[in-house]
Amino acid sequence: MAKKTVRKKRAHLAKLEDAALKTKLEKHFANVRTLLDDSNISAIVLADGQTFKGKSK
Amino acid sequence: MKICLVTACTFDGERGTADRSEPLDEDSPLGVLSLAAATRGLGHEVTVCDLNHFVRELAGPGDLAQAAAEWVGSTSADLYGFSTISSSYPFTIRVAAAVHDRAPSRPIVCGGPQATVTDRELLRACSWIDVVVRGEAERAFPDLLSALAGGAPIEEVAGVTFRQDGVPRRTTDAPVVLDLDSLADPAHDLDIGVNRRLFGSVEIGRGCPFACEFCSTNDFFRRKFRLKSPERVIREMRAVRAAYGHETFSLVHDMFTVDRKRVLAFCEAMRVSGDGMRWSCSARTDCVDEELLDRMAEAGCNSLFFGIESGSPDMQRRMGKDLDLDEARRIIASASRHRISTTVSTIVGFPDETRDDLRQTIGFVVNAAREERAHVQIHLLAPLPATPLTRRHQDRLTLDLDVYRDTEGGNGSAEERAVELPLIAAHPELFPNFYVFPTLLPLQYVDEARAFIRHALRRCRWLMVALHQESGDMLGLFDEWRAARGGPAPQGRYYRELPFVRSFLAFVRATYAGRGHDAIDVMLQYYEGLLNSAAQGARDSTMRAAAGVDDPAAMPMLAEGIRLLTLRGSAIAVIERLKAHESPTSEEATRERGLVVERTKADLYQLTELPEIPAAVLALCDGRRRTDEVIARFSSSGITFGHAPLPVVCRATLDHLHQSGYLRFVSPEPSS
Repeated sequence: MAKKTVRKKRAHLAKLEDAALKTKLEKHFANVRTLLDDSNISAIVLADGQTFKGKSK
Repeated sequence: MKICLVTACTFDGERGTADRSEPLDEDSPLGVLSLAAATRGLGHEVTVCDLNHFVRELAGPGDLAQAAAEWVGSTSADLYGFSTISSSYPFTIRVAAAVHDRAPSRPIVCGGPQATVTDRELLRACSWIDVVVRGEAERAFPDLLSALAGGAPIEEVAGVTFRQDGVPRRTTDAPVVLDLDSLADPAHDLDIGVNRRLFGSVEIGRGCPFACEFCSTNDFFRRKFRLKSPERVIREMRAVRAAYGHETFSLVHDMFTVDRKRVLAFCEAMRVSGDGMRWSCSARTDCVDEELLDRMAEAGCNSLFFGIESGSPDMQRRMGKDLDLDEARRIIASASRHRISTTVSTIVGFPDETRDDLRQTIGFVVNAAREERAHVQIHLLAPLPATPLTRRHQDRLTLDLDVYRDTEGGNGSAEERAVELPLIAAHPELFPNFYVFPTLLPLQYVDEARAFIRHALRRCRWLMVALHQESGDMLGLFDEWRAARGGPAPQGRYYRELPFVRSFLAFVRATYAGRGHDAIDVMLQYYEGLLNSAAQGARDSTMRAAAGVDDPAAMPMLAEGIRLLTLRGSAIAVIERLKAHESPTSEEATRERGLVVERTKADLYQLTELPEIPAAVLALCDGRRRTDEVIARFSSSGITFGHAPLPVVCRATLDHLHQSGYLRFVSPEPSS
């Protein structure tokens, strides 16, 4: 499964006094793309390749 | 009478350790629980021994069957009833034998799918088993108990097989239960694992009208399609939710969606109920459509099992499944759009499967992996007893030890296999599923291709999709891989383990990288980056947390669990293109990006592609540079942000990254 998610990162710029720069940076920081990938590249051993609804007969 | 019902273990040779595999133990044992309820309702005292629970929670080292028998025997029942399925049949028979040794006077009865179709063979081979109950047992088993208690003669009990003068004798088949609403609710209170399960299980109906040549379900439930009423199913779901807290359900039926009107009626009842419970079921891609999927999703359906079986139209016809594969692709995609996850199950290793058939099945699988909610499976065909396919080839089945070890290895321990193998070798009529069909293609080749595709997809799904999109022939890719490594891989667990993925990425780099395949190039970098970088560890004991960007001694570094990959190209954009069967643009394939990777609690990689400024700042935060050094390097890096002063931009970005959880600030502990 890989899906668009969106765990938005709010811009934290309370300390910035320059309002114009603050706005510009907020806009820049909001330009993120996010996604989930269910690949499991680094597991030393893959546990189960046939998860969920493996029928047993 | 005091009755002990024993569930069939659902061993999965790929779970657990090399010494002992774990059962795949997701659904409640509904057949046994339904039988327990029917039996208890007649005044018998019933206990249920769940062998999956025993193997998972109680078993120690040593002979598993003997230990299980001791556990089962401790119930001191008057009669033991064993449920059977193909994959654990030898184990069940051994446990039954050991129970008999402990209490030789107590009758042993077997039932379930495997005993039903091997009833006479079982009684011929196993003197310790007294009776087999064939098919649905809610009526026959209580009748049998009455007969054994001195009621009617056993030959008058429909649906059983017993010995008469030492010879197995079948009585007439018992009728199937036409009115499933008349059955008692399954005895979930006797399910020792019910609180541990991730979802509740409710039987929604029985009987599949289709006649696939490899499938055994018709021998047990017959082809008589039946459903419980929506009211009954919802009542059972509510009862399980109230007792055990489950909000998600597996609605069990081999083929729920045969009768469209009744599925719609169920969906409407679910919608009107307003309970908000989620559910999954099995379906065929030719028994659902866009509108039905819409209604099912609206009614809480969150997952569908689709047995596609083969990606070859010819094989579809030959096996009697006859799915339209273009329609199947559309339905899988449509389910995904409706936020319904799908299990896309396929089978390889058919006797008459050609190389082209295999190529098409593998292609179907990898193509289905583009759908974000599709979970693909490739199984090796097992000759289930009494299926049309097995009957045709019964005399030509062979016991292939390599395949046995890799795929049907019982509970997986070498000691157990050493005990079970002679049993299996002596009784092909009981255990055909541990044998293999004669095949046109060498079975070792088919099985290795299966392992290669499955595990490469698990490891690096989007690289495989990119390879499929560029080459179109994943079986050809497997051949190239095999040739590059100099022949067949070692048997056993090779494809499950990390050295395989390292070799595979090296192979792709040597064979495909830098040859104008943009999607492959970006995905290769991404997976190499994941494999070769470790997530940032916990704080070094010689460091202390610093307050933040205003602490002059602070050194910014990646927060715990965060990785930063700097890639040429956008992994996220390429994955989105692959999902849409498109190629990335030149800009998507070449512009350098900073990709933050976090492993989520659900074991997924959460990817966040950062804009240019945060990516550049984060790349400088190695935990060795002080904040002012990071700011200085950033300011002299040549990056611009309009006319804004770069130190101010960098400081604000550091603060933002810190507050967002990507960065932490540390300082060396003051020496004492």
